[in-house]
Order: sequence, then C-alpha cells, then structure tokens
Amino acid sequence: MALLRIENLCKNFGGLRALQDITFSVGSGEVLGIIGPNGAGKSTLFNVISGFEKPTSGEVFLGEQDISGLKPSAIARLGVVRTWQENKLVKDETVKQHVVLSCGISKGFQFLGAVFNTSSYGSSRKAMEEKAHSLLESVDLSSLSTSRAGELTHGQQRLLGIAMGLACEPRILMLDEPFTGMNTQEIRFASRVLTRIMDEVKFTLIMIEHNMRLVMGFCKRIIVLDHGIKIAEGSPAEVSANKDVIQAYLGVSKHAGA
Amino acid sequence: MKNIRKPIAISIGLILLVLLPKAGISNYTIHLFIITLLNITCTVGLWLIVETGQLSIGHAAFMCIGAYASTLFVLKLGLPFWPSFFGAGLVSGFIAVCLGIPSLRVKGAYFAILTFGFGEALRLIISALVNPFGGVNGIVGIPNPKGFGSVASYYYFSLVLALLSIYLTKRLHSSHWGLNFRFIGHEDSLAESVGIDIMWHKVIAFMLAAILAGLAGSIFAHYHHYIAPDFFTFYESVSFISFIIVGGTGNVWGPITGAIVLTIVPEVLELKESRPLFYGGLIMAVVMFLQNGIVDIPNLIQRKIRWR
Amino acid sequence: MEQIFLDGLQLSLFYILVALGLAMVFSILDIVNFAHGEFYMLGAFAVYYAVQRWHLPYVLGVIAAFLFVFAVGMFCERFLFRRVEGVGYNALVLSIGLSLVLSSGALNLFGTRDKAVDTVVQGVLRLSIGEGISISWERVTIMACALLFIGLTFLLIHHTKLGRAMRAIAQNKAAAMQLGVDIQRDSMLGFALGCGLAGLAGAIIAPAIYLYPSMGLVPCIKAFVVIVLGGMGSIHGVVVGGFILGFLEATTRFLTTGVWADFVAFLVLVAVLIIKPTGMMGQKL
Repeated sequence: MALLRIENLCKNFGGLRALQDITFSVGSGEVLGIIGPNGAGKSTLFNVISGFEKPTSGEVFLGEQDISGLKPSAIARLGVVRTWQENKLVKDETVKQHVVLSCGISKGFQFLGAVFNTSSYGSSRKAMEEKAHSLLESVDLSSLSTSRAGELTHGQQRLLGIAMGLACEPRILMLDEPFTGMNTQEIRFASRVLTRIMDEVKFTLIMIEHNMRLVMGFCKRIIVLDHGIKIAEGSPAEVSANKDVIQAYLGVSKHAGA
Repeated sequence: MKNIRKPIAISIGLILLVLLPKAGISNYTIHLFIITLLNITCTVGLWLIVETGQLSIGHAAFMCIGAYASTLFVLKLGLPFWPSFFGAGLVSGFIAVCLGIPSLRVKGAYFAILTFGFGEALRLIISALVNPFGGVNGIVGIPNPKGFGSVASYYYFSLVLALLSIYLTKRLHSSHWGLNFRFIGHEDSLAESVGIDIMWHKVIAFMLAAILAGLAGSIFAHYHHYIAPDFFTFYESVSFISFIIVGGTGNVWGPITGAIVLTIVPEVLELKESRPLFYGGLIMAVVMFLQNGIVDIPNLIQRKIRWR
Repeated sequence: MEQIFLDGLQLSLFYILVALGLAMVFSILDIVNFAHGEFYMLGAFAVYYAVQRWHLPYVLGVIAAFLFVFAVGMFCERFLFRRVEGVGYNALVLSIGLSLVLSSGALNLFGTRDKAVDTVVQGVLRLSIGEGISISWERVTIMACALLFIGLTFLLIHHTKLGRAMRAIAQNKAAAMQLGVDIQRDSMLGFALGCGLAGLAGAIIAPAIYLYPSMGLVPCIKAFVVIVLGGMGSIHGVVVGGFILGFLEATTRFLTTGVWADFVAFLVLVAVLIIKPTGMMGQKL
C-alpha cells in the first residue's frame, strides 16, 4: 500500500483552475520529483497536501487516513512535513532556535512542566537542544548556530529549512525548490548533505525543483505538471523523452502572454 | 558558572518591596504602588498575547469582567471572598476563550478592531444594565475581604499577584512556549509547518492574559470599594498597550518597566486629564523614533557612541 | 414601519459618510486609522466654535470645520504617518496614540462639560406617507447634507484627476507611480480628505447632539463595522455596509433600546469576521 495517495485532487482559486484531477501515489522510501514550467501548480500541490490550502475536491490519503482538510500543524504532526520556497525564517531568532522550535513537534503541551521548570521538562528541553545541535552538524551549520537567521546566505537558509524539516522526524519530507537560488558550490554541498542524510535516515522524499540535473539525479520517479494537469509520470529517462513534457517546456515561450 | 549577582539583586529587591509599607511612607504612595502592581499583572499577561502577533486593544475589558464578577459573587451571591477572587479569574478566562476562538482566527487590524469593539460593547452593556451591574453609576460599597482592611494588606496582596504573574510569564517566555509564541507572531505558516497548533497557542495566551487581568480586577474592586464602567475604557486598554510599547517587547522586563514608569511618571507630574495625552504622545514618539521601546535606549546610546 | 425606514435611512447615510473617509484612508494608504473618530469629533467642535463662539452662520461653520479637519489630516499624514510607513503594526499603533492625544487634547482645551450647538433648522416636516408621519427638518437636513457630501465624494473619486490618481494608488502603487502620479502628494490629500469627511459628518450632526471629547469612539467603531461589512478595500462596499448596518440598527432600536442597537453592531462585526472576513465586496485580508 502506498504511503501517500493523491486522488483526483482539484484546486480552484475563484475562476482559476490551479490543479485539475491530479492523481498519483508515493511509496514508502521513494524519492519523487515534481517538475513543470512556472505556474504549473507545483507549489499549490504542496500547499494542498500539507494542509495550507483546502482542496476543492479530491482526497489526500496518508496510509489509510484521509488527511485532506486537516490543519497544517496536524498534518505535520502526522509526519508530512514541507519546507518553503520563500524565505520564511524569523530574522531575529538564532539558527539554533529555529531547529529547536521544530524539535518540539513530538512533545505534548507540557504547560506545567514549563512553568515550574520541572526536571523532566529540563531534561526533555536539553534533549531537544542536543538533537538540534546534531541536526545542525549534519547540515554543516553548527558553526552558525548562534547567528541570527537573517545573517545566513541563501544556500544556508535552505539548509536550515531542511534541518527544520528533518527535526520533525517526518515520514514524508516535501522540499519546495530546495536548490533554487544557490550557487554551484552551495548546490554541490547541499546535494552531498541531502544524499548522506537520505542514506542515514530512510524517509520518503518529494521534491519540487527546476534544476533538471538535480531532479534527474536524485529522483527515481518524476511527475510533470503543466497548467495544473499531470502530463507525464515515469523515470527520468522516460520523462525527458516524453513529447508532451518537451512541448510544455519549449512551448512556455509561445504561451508567455497567456 | 551561574551569575550570582542576579539572584542577590532580586533578593534584595524583594526584601525592600516587602518592607516597603513599614518604611513610614504615606498611604498615597502605597496606593501608587498598588496600582502599579496591578498594572504590571495586567500588562505581563497582555504581553504574552501580543508576542503571538495579536494586538489586543480591549484588555481593560477583562479587568472589568474580573472586577464585576468578583463584586457580584460577593454582593449578590453572598460567596466568600476567595472563591469570588478565583472565580473572577475563571470567568474572565472563560469569556476570553469564548471570544478568542472565533476572533483569534483573524490577525492584524481586524483583530485590533474586534477587541476594540468588544471593549466598547462590554462597557455599553454594563452601562445600560442597572440590574445587576449598577449601570453608569457602577457599584459602591464593595466590602473588604476578611483580614484585609489596611492599605498595606492590599499592597501585599497585589505584590504577591504581581510576582506570581511575572514568574508565570517569564517562565513561559523562556520555555518552548515563548519560542512558539514568537514564531507564531513573526511567521505563523513556518510555525504551522513544523507542527505548532497556532490557534491552541493563541487561545491559551489570550486566556492566561484574561485570567491575570481578571484577578487584578478583583483586587481592584475590593480595594477601591467602588467600580464603574468608566474605569475600564478604551483609554485604559491603550494604557496597557503603551506600557508594552514604551517598555519594549523583548523580555518580561520591558512590560514591567513600562508599567512602572508610565504609572508613576504621570502621578509625579500630576497629570490628571492629560494622562491619555501623555500616553498617546509617548506611544507616537516611540513608534516614530524608538522602534524597540525604552528598554532599547541603552543599546541606541551604545551604537551612537560606537559610531563616533 | 415607516419609522424604521426613516431611521434606517438616516443612520445609513450618516454611517456611510463617517465610514467613507476611513475606507479611503485604508485603500489609498493601507492605514487603519483608529483616530478616525477624533477627526469626526474635531469637526463637531469646530462647528461649535464657529457658530457658538464666533457667531458665524452655520453653513460657514461647516465649511470651516471641513477645512480645519482637512488641514489637521494633512499635517498628520505628512509629519506623523509618513514616518512610519510599511512596517507591521506601526501605523495602526500610531493612530491609536493619535486618538488618545486628540481626544485628551480636546478634553483639556474644551473642558469636560458637554457642549451644544443651537439647532439650525427648526420645524417639522409632515409627510403623508401611510398614516402620515412627521420628521423634523433637522433630520431631513442632516440626511440631505450627508447625501450631498457622499455624492460629491463619489464625483471626485470618479470624475476628477485627483480621484483617478487616488484610485490608481489604491489599486497598484507601483503602476501609479509609473503613470506619473505624485504618490506622496496625492496620498496626503487622500488622507486629509478622508479625515475631512469624518469632520463633515461631525459638523452636520453637531446641532442634533451633545458634544463631548470622547464622542468619536462609538462612531469610529460603527465606521469599522461598516467597512468590514462592505469589504475593507472597497469604497462602494461602504455604501452596502452602511445600509446594512443602518437598517439593522434601526430595526433593533425599534424593537429594544439604544444600547442593544450598538451591541448589534459589535455582533455584526464578529459575525462578518468569522464568516466572511473579506466582507461583501472586499479584497483578501
């Protein structure tokens, strides 16, 4: 049984059909890429899966459970965690605080523990800090752990986003354009980090990316969206040979005004 | 090695505070301290909800609810003081939850407008209903609780409540709660994407703020022996906000400093009708010139010196 | 029934006039002006001074009030609000501070005793609708004036250069700038006009009510309810919102007492914000 099943997902914004009848599934441990020209609906798809947008119709199944319509925080706690394409870091908080924040996902409310600073609260807090530290080490940001998030380079911000996602111990990690805006060196470094992490922790990865080489390199299976419709699905080789896919990318300049 | 100076300073401060009424100062000064302590209690609570990015400009309404609840429990239901006191806090918290669940879903100006409307609506209703609220003229003859009579007794009562409120708020702020609140305030979708339930946090912060204000309102009612809707207007709500803005939002000492300075200075300057003018003017000055509040002044001076 | 209609009409027109300025300031400058009620109050007090103290004719008083409040509005935008552009809550908090300064300043200047402006128009108009109802000429005048100023405002917005500029800024500041609009000047004029409209509302209702420094508070809330109802970015929404609130209040007033009518406004506010936060015609939050 597939870990994540998207069935006939549609999302309309007013008159605009952002997603039309999207259906696919993701198996446990898979690495799935989602590509498509700008405006294809990739981020919308992420938003709907992760609960930030409600689907107009269709379902999202995590295992047996229909998660479409749940709150984003609930979906995250069920193990579907997404990162952001836009810069959403809090500039004045430290890098470490960002990861510690994410580590809190598995904790309960712990109100009394926090107020009275009980020893169990103290030790769970310490555990979170240590976990944050080791996560930062794995993305090579530990030297910057006390720096303000606003001081990071673009590539470092992306890595921080990935660290935050990992801190949530996801079953499915959804990366929204993790490499966009990085320079070659940063890309090389980040891909190495990501590969290493994927080797260590077996989780399912869904990635939106524009960089074809990276997508083809990381992902065993790719889905192509164009204007909200799934136009192709298959291995990197199949997809890059697909006529519709080529047309969608080449045809972008023709349809620029549309 | 833990800094030993801080606990010593705090201990000395506490001892001084406890000995204060014995020092032979006037009742008026003690009265000033009482009002300041009650203001601190209300303000640190409000600070929690402001940290989550929700600007509540109807906070005086919760003090009002606490004051009237406590009064009515004692006068109309004949309950003893202590259940009324805690009941006042609970009623205030309950109403906050009822208001908060629909309202906290909206942010920014909409929420400010809502709380503004709530404060005024509450005041209007209380003013209109002579039974049981006493209408515009309020309720007089609120009795002293057993064992309380002197100004000093109310001083200790307010002091204990203020210290507990500071402890509670500071603890929350330093814990994961404070971290969550701050991220919710700055980038709530980021917080949501890592599993933080935004509504839960906001409602709890709102409820806590209301409970503290309600308890403070109860003390005020019994200390002052007289309450009226005109004690809890938009201007009072804005005063609390001004304490936070002028004092700074970075840590718990901001609201505390703001409350102390802005309660005492107008008294020293003997402003009566001009008090709102003073608060309003300060708010405007801080917003225009001093982004982070008075607490930031040492930083700004440092920066200016360094640039020389 | 006719009573409700007349009351509703008067309230609606009045609320539309009060809220129009607030909506303008929001759509052009993105400012939620909590001091809006104080500009209304200043208009009323200006008329009081003009008519009662300086013995000017009422019409001149109204014009003077408008010009005075317009000038104060210009000053506020140019020297206060312009300094705090953009960042988060700044303009809102500034307007809250301004609200306190203005109302407290008024309290200090004008004293605590309520003021009254002599009735301008005497007499009663008898209409033979239904069983024959009577309505005072004063109320008719207020409604007529409100209608007049609302009409003039819409004329300005749709048929003058300034109006077009303001609409352009409201829709897309960057595009407006490229089209050669003087953003700073026209925004300032828009703000001043918004305040001036509130002042006009205060001026025309002044003869009918008692004046006191905090009289702007409740109209301010009503104005917020109107623009939330109508949709916060929308000028036309103000008309829709104004009529809805006006008639709702008139009905409530007929059924119970005044205070509950005010409370109804608050309930409407909560309901709208929960059910359809963008209001009837507004943009996204």
